[in-house]
Amino acid sequence: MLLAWTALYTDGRTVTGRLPEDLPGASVPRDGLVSFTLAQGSPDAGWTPILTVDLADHERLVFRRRMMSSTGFSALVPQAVGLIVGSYDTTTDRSSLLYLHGDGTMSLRVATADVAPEPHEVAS
Amino acid sequence: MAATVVWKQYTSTGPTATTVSASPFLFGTDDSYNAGATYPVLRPASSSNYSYETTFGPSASGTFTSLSNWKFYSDGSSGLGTGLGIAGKALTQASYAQATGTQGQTATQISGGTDLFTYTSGSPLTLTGTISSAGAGTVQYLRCQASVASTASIGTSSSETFTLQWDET
Repeated sequence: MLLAWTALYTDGRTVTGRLPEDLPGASVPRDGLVSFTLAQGSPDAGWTPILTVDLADHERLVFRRRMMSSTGFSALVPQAVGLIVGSYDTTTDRSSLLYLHGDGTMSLRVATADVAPEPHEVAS
Repeated sequence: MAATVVWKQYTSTGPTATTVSASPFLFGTDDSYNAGATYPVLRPASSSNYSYETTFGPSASGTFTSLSNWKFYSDGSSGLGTGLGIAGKALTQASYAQATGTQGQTATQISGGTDLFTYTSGSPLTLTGTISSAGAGTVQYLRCQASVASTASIGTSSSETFTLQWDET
């Protein structure tokens, strides 16, 4: 099962990508982004939406992949252990985020102040 | 593609950065890469001896926008063996100083260091900063030091593994 995403803008334009190769980073402008949908499936079987983040004018998409590596201070072999998806509220400086953990569980954090937005997440 | 992240060890006054590839990495008593392979810590007759302070930092390459929210932690239990420990602290890059001591013997105990095995997934050590593009970044260093008490066994200790975690965009 693969993961794909679609970013929808106010002018109807869309940007799409697939994980793990395409993270919606700086190449996906946040300004004008009104909806972000994460879907699972495959090119052959089709895609089923599993999560949509609808964004108001004052909200910006936050999307991150959590990586982890065991280390004895030797070579690092990172592995993805989760996804973090949600929104940053530019008026309150708070983020509301859904953590999709690698073990299949989820946790929700609402209006948290300890997740600072990256510059590309708030650029207009 | 995901970013490629490696540990760098920082030595000398520059400092000089060396990608850590030795496995296991050996703490030692010299300001050089993987110093323990050549200059181990001398077991004392009493009290404890210390390795030179050893400085690590994450370094990234590849295609990504940013790497942030760096956390470092252990499983909460030291398996190094009797009389052995590792202490450490986060260090701003601007605060880096060349490690000193008595080559082949010991060094002064690290100031402000905490037993690394007290850092767990629920209470990790934060390395503040973001790597914003390949090769550029301001993430704090991890400054560590091994300790060897008189009660330790002679020879290379058992190995230990820690976890480094970060968020990629």
